[in-house]
Amino acid sequence: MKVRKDNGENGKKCRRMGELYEILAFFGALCMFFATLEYLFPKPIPFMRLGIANIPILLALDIFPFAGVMLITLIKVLGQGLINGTLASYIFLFSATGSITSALVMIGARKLFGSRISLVGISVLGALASNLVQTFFSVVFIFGSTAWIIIPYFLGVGFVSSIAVGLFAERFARKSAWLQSVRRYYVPVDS
Amino acid sequence: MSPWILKEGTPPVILFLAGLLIIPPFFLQQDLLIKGGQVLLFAFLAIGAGKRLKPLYFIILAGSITFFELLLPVGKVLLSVGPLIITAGSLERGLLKGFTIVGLVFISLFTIRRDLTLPGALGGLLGRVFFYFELIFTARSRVNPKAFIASLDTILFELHPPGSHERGAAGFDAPGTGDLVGQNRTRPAGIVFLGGLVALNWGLLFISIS
Repeated sequence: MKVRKDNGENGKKCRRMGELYEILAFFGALCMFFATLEYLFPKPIPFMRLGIANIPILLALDIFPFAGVMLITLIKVLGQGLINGTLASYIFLFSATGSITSALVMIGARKLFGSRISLVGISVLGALASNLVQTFFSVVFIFGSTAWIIIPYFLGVGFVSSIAVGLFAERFARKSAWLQSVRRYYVPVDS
Repeated sequence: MSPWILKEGTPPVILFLAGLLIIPPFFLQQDLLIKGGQVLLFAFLAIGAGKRLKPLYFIILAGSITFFELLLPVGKVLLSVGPLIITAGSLERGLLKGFTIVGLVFISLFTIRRDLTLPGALGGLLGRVFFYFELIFTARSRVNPKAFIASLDTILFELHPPGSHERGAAGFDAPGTGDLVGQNRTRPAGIVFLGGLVALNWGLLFISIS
């Protein structure tokens, strides 16, 4: 990944790559921390998620290039699997497909609309994509065609929680001095 | 069963491999009673491995899967509750599916430990992620709900001030490339236990009691 302050000196570039590696790991750890918080909320339906672990991914959209955001998403999925012990289960498959689709849609929305779309809008689109993919998988692999009954409920809960997640991310992005300094330091060349 | 067998008696990667070997025979098992017994065994092992189970969550999980299967009646009618017709075929299919999914979660819970290190560059990165995760998790009590963002900001600056960390700096060791052997010593009892468990699950495929 290229970084803006790279002046062509190999040593400096390697050092910056090392730092980028660390900040990627840190964002991944933040995802896992939020995932742990999410685990504490009761779920009326299995597989249902509030999506608060997506907050660091939303914040990462304006810092990292495509590969970086996808790597954080992958770390989030693997980390969740290891922390919650679901790495070898269906839940992992659900989580992985939902998270990857959601990340792709969120990156696409940011690329397509730029600053004309808020983090709330991006969060809603990401949640919608994730929930639709997870519903599709539940229809195909677990519940069968009758699972379509739960679609309105899934989408409704996802819509409301994604607005809350987006509002928090928007507020944090505006107010956090840490995030602003991270942006100044790590914003990619090709953004 | 001594919990140490799943906690310290085997390296995490051996435990993980054992889990992968148990999944196929469990998945292929079509005898409802045997599958139910396997689920109970896996739940017991998950508890033995130090995992906290939420029984209600798993009952709802299996129950909801069974309920959705009941909506598609197959075979002999057992009971009719209003518009819902409970048939033997759909009930058995639903329970099998529910047991399978719950059992897979339990297998995952007792075979995947936090100290599992995956090989390669991604494994090394995950090692750094867990390092930071522990730091963040330890600092969580300092988050003030009344000044949430400000207090979170202070912690984030302390844990990862942008640009101040270079690989190899004090307290930030260069990430490894993963370790297939793991940090725990392989103990014969642990290996025998896991080997027996894998053999038992494969052997159960050839028995029918329902």
